[in-house]
Amino acid sequence: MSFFGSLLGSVVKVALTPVAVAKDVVNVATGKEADATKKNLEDAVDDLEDAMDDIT
Amino acid sequence: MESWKLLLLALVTIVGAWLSARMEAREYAHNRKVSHFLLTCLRVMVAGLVLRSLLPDPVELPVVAMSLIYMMGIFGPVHRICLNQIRINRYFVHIPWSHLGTESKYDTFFRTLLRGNEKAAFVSMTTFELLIAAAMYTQLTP
Repeated sequence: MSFFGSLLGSVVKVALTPVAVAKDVVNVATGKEADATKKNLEDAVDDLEDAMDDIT
Repeated sequence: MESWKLLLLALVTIVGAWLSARMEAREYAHNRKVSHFLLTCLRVMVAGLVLRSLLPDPVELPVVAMSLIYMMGIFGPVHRICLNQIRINRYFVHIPWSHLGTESKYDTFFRTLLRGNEKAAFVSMTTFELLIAAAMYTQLTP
């Protein structure tokens, strides 16, 4: 993916964090495993690192 | 993150929420205007400093973000309950135990969602925030 694609992906994932948190709340309330926020934030950091790799 | 660090974070957050509620109640009692934006900036800054001292180098951004959300999930209910209790018991303000702020969009959202029922909004917000803290705790523990 290009620099801007990776950067945009990272920004979108960070913006979607509240949705992931809400999904985790539902998972905790229903006794399921909550991992959406962690996955989402890790993906955002990966995308950011990809973007940095693209310009260096 | 180790469990003891998360429990220490919870303890620090509870103490911070209580202290913040005491100061805020005093400001309300003296009819002084409270800047919620500045208060939030101050709280996030203190939370960042506490996290900086607890997390090992180099810091991982997802861990920092989830720790802040975890602290927020504990701070919210404790602060809301303490603020109302201090205002009622120390400053004899006639408000219900379930009093919510009138300027906050977050409070307004829940109040609107529950058709103006303040008690239901108060309980829902508190439960929601505690579930957020529980969800972050499960993801932060190895």
